[in-house]
Amino acid sequence: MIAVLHYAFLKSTHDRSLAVFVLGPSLVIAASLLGATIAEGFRYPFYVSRQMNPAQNAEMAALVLTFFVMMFGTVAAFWTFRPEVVTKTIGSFLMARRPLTVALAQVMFAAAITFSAWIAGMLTIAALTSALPLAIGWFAAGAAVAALAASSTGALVLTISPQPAMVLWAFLACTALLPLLVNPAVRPKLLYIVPVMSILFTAVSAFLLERRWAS
Amino acid sequence: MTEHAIVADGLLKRYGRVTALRDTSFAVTKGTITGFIGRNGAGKTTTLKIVSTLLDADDGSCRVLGSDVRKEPYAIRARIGFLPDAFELPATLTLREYLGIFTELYAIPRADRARRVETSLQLTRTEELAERRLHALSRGEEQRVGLARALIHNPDILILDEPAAGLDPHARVELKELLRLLRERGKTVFLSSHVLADLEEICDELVVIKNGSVIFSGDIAGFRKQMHSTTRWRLSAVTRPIPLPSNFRGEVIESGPTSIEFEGELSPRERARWIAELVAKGVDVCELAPLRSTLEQEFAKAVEEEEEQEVAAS
Repeated sequence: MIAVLHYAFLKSTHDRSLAVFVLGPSLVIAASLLGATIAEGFRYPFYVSRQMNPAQNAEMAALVLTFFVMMFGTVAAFWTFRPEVVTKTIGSFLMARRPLTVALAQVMFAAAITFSAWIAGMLTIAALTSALPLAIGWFAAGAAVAALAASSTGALVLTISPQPAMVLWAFLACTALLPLLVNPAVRPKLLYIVPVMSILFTAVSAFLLERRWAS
Repeated sequence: MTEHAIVADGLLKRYGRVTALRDTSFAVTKGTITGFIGRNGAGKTTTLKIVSTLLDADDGSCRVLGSDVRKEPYAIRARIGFLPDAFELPATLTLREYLGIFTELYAIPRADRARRVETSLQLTRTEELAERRLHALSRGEEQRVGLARALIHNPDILILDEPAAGLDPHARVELKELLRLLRERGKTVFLSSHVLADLEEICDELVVIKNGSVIFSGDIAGFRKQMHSTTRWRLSAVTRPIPLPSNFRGEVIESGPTSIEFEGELSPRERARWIAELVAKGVDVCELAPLRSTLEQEFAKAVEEEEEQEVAAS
């Protein structure tokens, strides 16, 4: 699996997509905070709403960040190996490694990018709002779950069809997941459900990868 | 006893209502270069995919290096190098990085990786491309890079689907040299190609497929024998017109001012007698030599014969 991760890392650093996926959500959240701050009167620390204290502003920004991180994560999972799937070049990997290993590496790579993007985003929020959300642990767990969900959904959608429009289905799935992630009653259950769902999605991706290559 | 690297027995493959392979059986001898020929859509790629464990046959069996393709696909994959007819390379990676990744994928020990990469580069004469990114390569260079990748784990069998497609004459010569070198090193090469002249030059054995059925599997001499090929001869002389010998048997195919081409069987004794007779008649004979029919002609003939048989049967 390390070899596939190494390949994905080399490829995405050379074409600079790694930087876009990791830093993209931070730029979006910085732009949102800056926009809101300018609209109601510029001052530091930045805010979403003047009526909230810095920790509450950070919490609001973290919610928005989680959504953008999921979107970028989905695209990362879909995009990184898309050329290989379209051209069936992924087959050369499958000659050397089992399909499950390749699919797992694909998901792990995108999940790592997504979680890194969340960390970068939280650092940006902390720097701009001068605070962190109070329940940072829950936010981190939610981000990890979001990263897994986004990456396994993106990988699955890619193996179903590499048409670019397919990524919209992954976006929709992530959008549906977000309200559940912020619901305190459902959130603990998601910590179990999403990993199981990701394993299932990864296994289906592996099966489809092999089928796609043979066709 | 002949050892076989690949043995296919009664392979059947259907895509919906289309039968791609029917009762396909053949064997590829270890350490040989075996050509796989057939028209477009004859079932070559399907067969190569089954042999490479990428596709399951609906019926029949296939063993590669003694392992069943259904039961031990991963063991087989580790021992074969497969180059598909169409593939793309990651544009932003250098060749050295690309091959390095495959040494990791094949779990080659860390200490051997650099050496393996160098060996592959040397074998495929791609050393000068090693530090270049893979986005601006010619078709011939891409093909060599694909071969370097297929060879990186030192496979026992190399399975190549149309490796000569789109290559210029120089690149084709280099490809043939490489395949000969691999044979010398004990590798088995099984390749499909439409460039039959090249196959004739390098192949030890042939598998001929038509409409999903193998119509011949064996050495090239055996193929010619099966086709009952009559040899074509050329008689050249300075004297014009060239008189035919008194006991001439055969069919004149072409008659020019300084040469005659004819088909027929001619023993060495008859050949000597003809030359003596012509010289006695005052003819300055330059040449009386056999012209072997090309593999292309033999293949066309084989396909025609099969079609005639099918028409007769229907």
